Amino acid sequence: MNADFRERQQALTIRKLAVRYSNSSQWVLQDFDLAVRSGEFVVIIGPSGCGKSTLLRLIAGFTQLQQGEIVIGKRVAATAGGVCIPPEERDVGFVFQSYALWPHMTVKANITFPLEQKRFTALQREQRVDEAIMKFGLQEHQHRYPAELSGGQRQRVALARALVGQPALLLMDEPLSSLDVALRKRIQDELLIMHKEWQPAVLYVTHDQDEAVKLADRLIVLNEGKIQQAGTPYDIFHSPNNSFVANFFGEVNELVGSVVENQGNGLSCIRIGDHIFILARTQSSLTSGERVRVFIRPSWVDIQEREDMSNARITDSRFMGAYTDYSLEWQGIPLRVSTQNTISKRVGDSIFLKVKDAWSIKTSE
Amino acid sequence: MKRIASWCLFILPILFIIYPLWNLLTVSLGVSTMQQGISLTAYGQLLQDPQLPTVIQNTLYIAVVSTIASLFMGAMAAILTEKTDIPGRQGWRLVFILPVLLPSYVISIAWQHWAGPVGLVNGWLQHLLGRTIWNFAGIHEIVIVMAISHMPIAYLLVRSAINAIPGHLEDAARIAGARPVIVFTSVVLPLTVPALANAALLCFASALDNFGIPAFIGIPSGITVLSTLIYQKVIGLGNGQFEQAAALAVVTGLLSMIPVYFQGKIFHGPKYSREEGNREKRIYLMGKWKWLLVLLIGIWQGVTVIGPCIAMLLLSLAPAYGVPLTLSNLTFAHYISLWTDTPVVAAGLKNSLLLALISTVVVLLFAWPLARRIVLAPSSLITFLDGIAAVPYCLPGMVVGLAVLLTWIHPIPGTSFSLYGGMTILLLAYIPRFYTFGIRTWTTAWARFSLHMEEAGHVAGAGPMTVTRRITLPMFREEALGGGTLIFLLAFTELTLSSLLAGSQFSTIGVIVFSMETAGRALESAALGTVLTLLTLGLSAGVCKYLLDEKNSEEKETKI
Repeated sequence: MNADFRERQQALTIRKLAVRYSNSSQWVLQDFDLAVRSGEFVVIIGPSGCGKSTLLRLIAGFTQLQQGEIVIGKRVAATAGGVCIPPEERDVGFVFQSYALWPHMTVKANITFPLEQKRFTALQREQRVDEAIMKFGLQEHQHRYPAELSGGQRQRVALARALVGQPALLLMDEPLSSLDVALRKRIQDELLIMHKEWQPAVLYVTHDQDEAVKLADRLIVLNEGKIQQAGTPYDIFHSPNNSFVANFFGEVNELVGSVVENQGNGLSCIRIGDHIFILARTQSSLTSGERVRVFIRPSWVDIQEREDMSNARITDSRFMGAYTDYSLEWQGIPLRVSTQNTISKRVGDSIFLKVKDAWSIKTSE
Repeated sequence: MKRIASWCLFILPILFIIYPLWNLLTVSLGVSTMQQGISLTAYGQLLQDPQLPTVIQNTLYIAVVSTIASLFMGAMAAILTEKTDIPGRQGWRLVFILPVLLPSYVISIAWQHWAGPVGLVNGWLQHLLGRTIWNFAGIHEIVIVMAISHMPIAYLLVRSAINAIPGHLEDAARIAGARPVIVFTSVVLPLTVPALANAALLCFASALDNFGIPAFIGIPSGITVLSTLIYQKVIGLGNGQFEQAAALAVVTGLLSMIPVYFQGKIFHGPKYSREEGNREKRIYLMGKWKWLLVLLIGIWQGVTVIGPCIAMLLLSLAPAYGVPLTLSNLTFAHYISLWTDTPVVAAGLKNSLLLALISTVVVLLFAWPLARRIVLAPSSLITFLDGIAAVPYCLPGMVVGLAVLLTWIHPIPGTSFSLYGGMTILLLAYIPRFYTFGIRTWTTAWARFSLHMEEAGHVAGAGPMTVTRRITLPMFREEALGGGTLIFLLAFTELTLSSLLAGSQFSTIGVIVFSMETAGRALESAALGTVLTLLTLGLSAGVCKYLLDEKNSEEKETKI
């Protein structure tokens, strides 16, 4: 299919969505907007209970919404109190956390089932299924039952079954969470290759940030039923919208300061405590004197052993393998730093640190 | 001490299970007391018995047809209560398992008064239409009552298979484009096939085993099946009848082993990975139809269970047989006469209660060490013992009863003391017969229990006795109560074994109802049947919860 044409199409549009469970007054999702373009790999990440699985079940049609609307492709799939296309007519793929392979059917029968529900000739069906089995490397296993497969193979069957009908939208609900770490990494790679090959729009839910960063074209951080931030993994890591997002993606030093001068090129000079002045990336609207929250990731700080200068003291250190974690006291402020350099200084010694990068946002007061 | 316990574990089953059965075999081969060689005379005579082909034909006909009917009803009931949104599912569940708790001879009595040739329904129809159009007597009646009374076996098995299906499997089928009907036929139904097969085997085995129904309905109308034939041969006690009865029992026993063999061999249900979270089951919306379904279930239950019970109750309150009951002539005389005129009833109740109590306690006590080993230290010997323990229940009760009778009827060597006629011989039959229920009770409890909890107790410094008393047993309380009540109920209303083994001095309540029925005292047997029904219902409150396994199935449902 023409790439430009796909680019322009929306695979999924969600507007002003709100949902709550029938026996509860608390909203699971509220005021939720989302658009997924054709061929885009969108990952939704959030802590457990943030509503991410509910969102997928809503899109698939297993749960009813209370407000808003869901449009899949060009078709309105669900509106509050109005349209509700049943799951079998929504033409989406779904990969379940438990794979949900049918234990009484062989691998091939599992993959064929979605096509049997549509109008295909036996020949077309056979061709498509064989193609899928080939692409997923399941030739040797096609006549086995799911119980005879390894975890990775089951994962592949689940994926093949979800993709064989060539849905425009593929929903994946933590599909790798029951695999061990090494296998998970391998399947992630396979997943990216498959995505290139089949080009579906993917909405992928996970709570694993490494996985999210690796897979996503676009990342959406969800917490308490609301989108905290949406953007590329790079943006979310480097310029978090709030302290939840900052903390959710790895360790961060969170400090309070005030703007001394907004230089206008996206950088501001910020004062932290009484004596520290650093240059931080900022939102452009900040003005002098404004209170800000400053985020400094441990890897954004450089520490050097200098004889002539020192501005911090080591209070703790821990060797972590590829890098070393240090806890420092930086002119009265505790700071966590990680470095790959070898430092000969020990706990209690003085050291010189330099902040290479920092990000600040307005404090929400 | 420990060694003695281990030896007992091994010796007791041999002495009380294998030895009697071995004895049965030797008697059938004519090598009972005298030193004589093996002879197949008894089998030969059996083959010449002109009655035998009819009896086997009857037995198989009843077993096959009632199994099909039980299976159909049980599967329908399971689908209706577990997979639809019909109102009052919890209540229907209880009603559906009720027949398994009522002794089958009580259902027979009730059914005869309900739909028998002179039953309530026929009375109405005659009143309405002026003639008898309903004549379900004899073999059809046996089949119907058998189907009703074994339906819960199929219901419970299919139900638990349905509930074990992870909801995701159905979601996956829907998202793959299947309509709810297709989801049901291509995912739910195939996954319950193994359970259906198992249920068929169990219903079939139960039909071979059953004595109460053919005894209460078949004997009066001259329809004989294997279990009643053995009984008649033993009670007849003619020349060489013991040998013939033993030979017949051996044949029956072998016949009943066929389904047991198959059950072990072929049908393994699907195993599901225990995924976290989402264990909710999917139910299918019936829309407006659900009220029609409720109406149908109501009629079905009314006809098969509730109606018969009411007919029995009404008859027991009537002044005399055939006299229409009105508010003014309603009488409790038959209930009172149960106690005053027939002292044997009170004694029988006492005997049965005592027997049931002792059996339950002994079974649970003796099952504990074996069950513990089955779960914690399985070995081929333990598996073998587990299998042996199941034999007395898998064999038809009449076969077991005869084996026990032949083994212990003779005076103990050197004395003139015989166990026959007392409580001991009944216990020697009841305890092996229900032993496997004790094992099931404890093994299911153990399977849910994490051994770490015991280990934590040991680490905290408690000895084995303290750990068992303070940690393990309290956690097993519910299972023990449920399983114990089930054993108690079965032993309390037992008829098959006691019909052979209970002497006139030590009658059980089942035997008393039986003799009342054969003596034609219909009103009193109806009264006693009603009393038994009420007693059973009272006791079964605990068992229902146990049978429905409510602890495991959280009532979380998602509509499909």
